[in-house]
Amino acid sequence: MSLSVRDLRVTIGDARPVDGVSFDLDAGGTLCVVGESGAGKTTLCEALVGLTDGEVDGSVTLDGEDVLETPQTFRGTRIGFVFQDAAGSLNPVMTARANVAEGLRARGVGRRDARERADDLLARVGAPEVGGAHPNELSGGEARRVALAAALAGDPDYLVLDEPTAGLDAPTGRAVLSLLADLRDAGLALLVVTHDLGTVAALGGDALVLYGGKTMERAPVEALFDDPAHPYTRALLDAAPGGYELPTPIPGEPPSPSNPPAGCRFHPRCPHATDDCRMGEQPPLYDAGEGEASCVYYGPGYDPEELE
Amino acid sequence: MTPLDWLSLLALLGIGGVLSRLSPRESRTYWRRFRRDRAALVGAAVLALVGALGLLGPLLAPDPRVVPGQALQPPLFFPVEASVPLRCLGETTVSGGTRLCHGTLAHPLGTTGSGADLLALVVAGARVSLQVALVTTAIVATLGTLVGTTAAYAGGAVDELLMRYVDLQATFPSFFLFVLLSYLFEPSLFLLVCLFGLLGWENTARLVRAEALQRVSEPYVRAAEAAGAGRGWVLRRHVLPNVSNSVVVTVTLLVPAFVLLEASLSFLGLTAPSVPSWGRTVAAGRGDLTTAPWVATVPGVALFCTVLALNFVGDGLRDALDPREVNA
Repeated sequence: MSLSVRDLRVTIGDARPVDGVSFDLDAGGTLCVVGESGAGKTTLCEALVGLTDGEVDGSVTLDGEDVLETPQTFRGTRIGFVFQDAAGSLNPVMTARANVAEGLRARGVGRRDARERADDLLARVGAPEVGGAHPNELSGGEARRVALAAALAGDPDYLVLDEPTAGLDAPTGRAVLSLLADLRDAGLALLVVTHDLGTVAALGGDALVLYGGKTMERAPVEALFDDPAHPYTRALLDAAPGGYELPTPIPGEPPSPSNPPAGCRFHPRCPHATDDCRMGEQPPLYDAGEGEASCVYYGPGYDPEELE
Repeated sequence: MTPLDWLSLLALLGIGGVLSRLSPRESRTYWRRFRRDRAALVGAAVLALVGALGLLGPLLAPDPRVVPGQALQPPLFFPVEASVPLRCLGETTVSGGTRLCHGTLAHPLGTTGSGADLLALVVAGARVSLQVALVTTAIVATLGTLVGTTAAYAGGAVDELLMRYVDLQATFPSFFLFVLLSYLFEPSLFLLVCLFGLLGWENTARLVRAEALQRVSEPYVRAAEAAGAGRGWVLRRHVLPNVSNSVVVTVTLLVPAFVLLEASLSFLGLTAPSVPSWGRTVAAGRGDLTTAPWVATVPGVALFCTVLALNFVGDGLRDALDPREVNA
């Protein structure tokens, strides 16, 4: 039982926002995809269920079945989806309850059954009293919960969440994250896409660091935080606000998806970049402690001390 | 019941069906905003009167018949020289040396040169205008919405094909086609309404498409797709309800134009003589304008009031449905 993604590439015009990403997400597991804006996170999760306008190559399989072949049969029922703009993902002319019931109604569930199920789901996500409200009357946290209930309506085994805490204040964000943890404990697998390392730390599981559409590092969250194996991961951790020290911003700009640099995508901003980093393709992932990383500098056959 | 009656009934049921889909909350909000507009309220009252006359007309007044003996009777409180009508049905008085003919209660709005009762003509004309308004609204709104939303949501070749057809239709001279068809067949109201309805929805389609293009990129449309809804379902449940305001707004602009168009064609004598249109009655009164001005004035005022009322109600609806008015 797992969602397996192999060498996923998304091409939109002459840009390739996702360029060869692979990972496995086991049933009931958690995978956090971390990266800056423009790293290809949103495109990645939309591509999983065929929602992107671009051309998708590579494979996405769920328990051995090809998802990209017939994405519509997987949407909602096997893979749920919560958009970053939760309030916007609710139809403004329908009540919250009708929005939750919508996915069921579209699959032919009767009006009354769908309503009852929607009320159950709203209670399950901790928003039992907002059923009759319209989306413009919901707070940010309530909208997030309603969107979550709508994504759960088809009883999926996997849930893709794009920035689940975006636009929420810290306590509301934490409440949403603990709700997600509860759902995972009940057997739901989570694929969370976020730029927020606090979300990653709260959810745990595995992490995948995405940069310029390429995987920089893949490791269990704890190992990633304790001992990052890629200079980009280190830079990302240093750039995260937290503690009493001011964060250190990463110099430079993220690469352009239509004209990425040769070699390691991160080399123009990397403090350790060598000539080897500037040539050829993104280096292959190598085993680094508990996870894998894609770096020339720290990779096998390179001795940094020899260089310094 | 003629085919047009059936079409009108269908249109009425359709409009009722759409209104019944509004939630109580929505209808309350819209009504609260609508009734702030005095002119729109008066317009709605006039339209309700025209609608009632049009619906119940055959029960209220007899069919307008040509009765030569009672030609050019003046309306009540509008005495004319006794020489104007052939035979004065009301009382005659002498004032200042001239004999005056007064109107009778039997013909409160007077009669035409051919002796038809003007009240009966106004009532029958209300039915004509009502049918024109109803059926063209239904045809234009349905086709325009269908084509506009489908083009926007499907995109690509479908969009291109549909909108190029719309461009073609916009250049099509439907007036000449009507004139041609009216020589080949009987130029009935049914033909007029269908022809101009079927060839008059291109602007509605364009405006609805422009609105729908914005709607289909809204996250809720993608969310519905991500929840596993099919394209038809998304179109019907998510795109359509969110462009309905644009449909109402564009159609309210078209309806008075269609009513006026029918009256103009009747005035020019291009429609079947059996259709008791206001335009035809105005034309009939043209020759007697100096001696019997009421013949052209009465149906003219009815037409004027109806078109004005349609415009007022359209304005009111536009303001009431404006989504930018959030806290009203």
